Amino acid sequence: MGEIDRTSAIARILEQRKDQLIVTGLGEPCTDVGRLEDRALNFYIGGAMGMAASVGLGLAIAQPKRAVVVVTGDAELMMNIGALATIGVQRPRNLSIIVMDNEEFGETGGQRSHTGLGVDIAAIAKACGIADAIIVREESGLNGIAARTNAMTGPYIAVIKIRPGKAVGVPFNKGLRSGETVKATFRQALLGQP
Amino acid sequence: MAMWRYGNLAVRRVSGCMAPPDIELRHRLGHSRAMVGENLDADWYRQSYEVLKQARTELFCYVPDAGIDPFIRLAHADNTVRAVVLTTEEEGVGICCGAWLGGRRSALLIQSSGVGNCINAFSLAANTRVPMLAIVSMRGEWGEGNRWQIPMGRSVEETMKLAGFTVYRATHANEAAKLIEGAANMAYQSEQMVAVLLSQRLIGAKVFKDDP
Repeated sequence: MGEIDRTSAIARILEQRKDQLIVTGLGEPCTDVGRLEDRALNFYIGGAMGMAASVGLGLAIAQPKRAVVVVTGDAELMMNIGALATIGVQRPRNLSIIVMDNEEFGETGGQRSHTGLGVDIAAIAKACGIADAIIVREESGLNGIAARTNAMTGPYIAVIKIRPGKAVGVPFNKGLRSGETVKATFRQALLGQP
Repeated sequence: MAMWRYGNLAVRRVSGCMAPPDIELRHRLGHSRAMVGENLDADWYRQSYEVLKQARTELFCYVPDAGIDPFIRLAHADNTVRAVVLTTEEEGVGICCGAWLGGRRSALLIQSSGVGNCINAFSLAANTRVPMLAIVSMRGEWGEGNRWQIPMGRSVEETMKLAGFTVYRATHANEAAKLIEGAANMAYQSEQMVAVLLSQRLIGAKVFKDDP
């Protein structure tokens, strides 16, 4: 079980976010990212479990000069774990995946998830050809991740072992609102057209 | 014409139509499926690929099937587009969505059985209204000799409609490129989910030998 506080961790991981394109998986990662800073270049996914890494890959292919950061949960990624194989094949240098790993299904009652039962996402990633894959168990391990997400030498994946439980504080529900609005806001900021 | 570099791959970004690379489709078709079907002429594949290029499709996400194999080969041989092989079709829904967020147009090339894998993923397109262009090679319908294909083949059209797609069906070679052209324009310009089903009458049904 992880010890890292998710709220302070995400602030450090995304401290160089200014020009980054950020995609969040459903549930708490939307809150983590949105509460840190609700910005136009955050693409919040409020459902479609499993899609965050694939959306990040498509975005990374379309915008090869921009750093793309996916922030998602362990179970969200596990639901579409094949995405790591495709990312390993496509090798997007500008794609980073941050897995907020609480080893449980946090939205549905805290049932133990695969990572809590021994599955090692970083090892899977390495086996898929994503050589730069780490597990972070202590706060000191967060050093350097922010710079790493802008290094453009990916693909890169960091599995952050966080404490179970919801993010503390004000809820952030934008991920649950209109995906069409979020898309239009994102595209307007990036491309100058909705 | 901008270059965009991606990993070891240098890709030219183009607007407008580029002639697709010369691929011997007829030869390939002969190997990919022993078929009964109306028209095994490959010209409609090439024409359809051209209209996809004219519509500025730059990314093709696929899980292979014999009926879409010519598109996959054309895309891989074309250095102005990118072809991405998937482990499961739903990945392609996410990738197409991400590509649109980044300003690029894409298409899903999948078999009918893969449609079922995508149902929840399609909510991404329905809720964000990103264009989703799916070209679906049919199994489990006219001429099918493998009963395992039948359930998904029967339900694919209704499934896609329920998920939010407008669905067109190409049955004859002389209509395929036109249907795909209109579907691409409708998807990209009106931000719609649009599918073109390539029927087994068109692409051929795999022949299975009876037990002796």
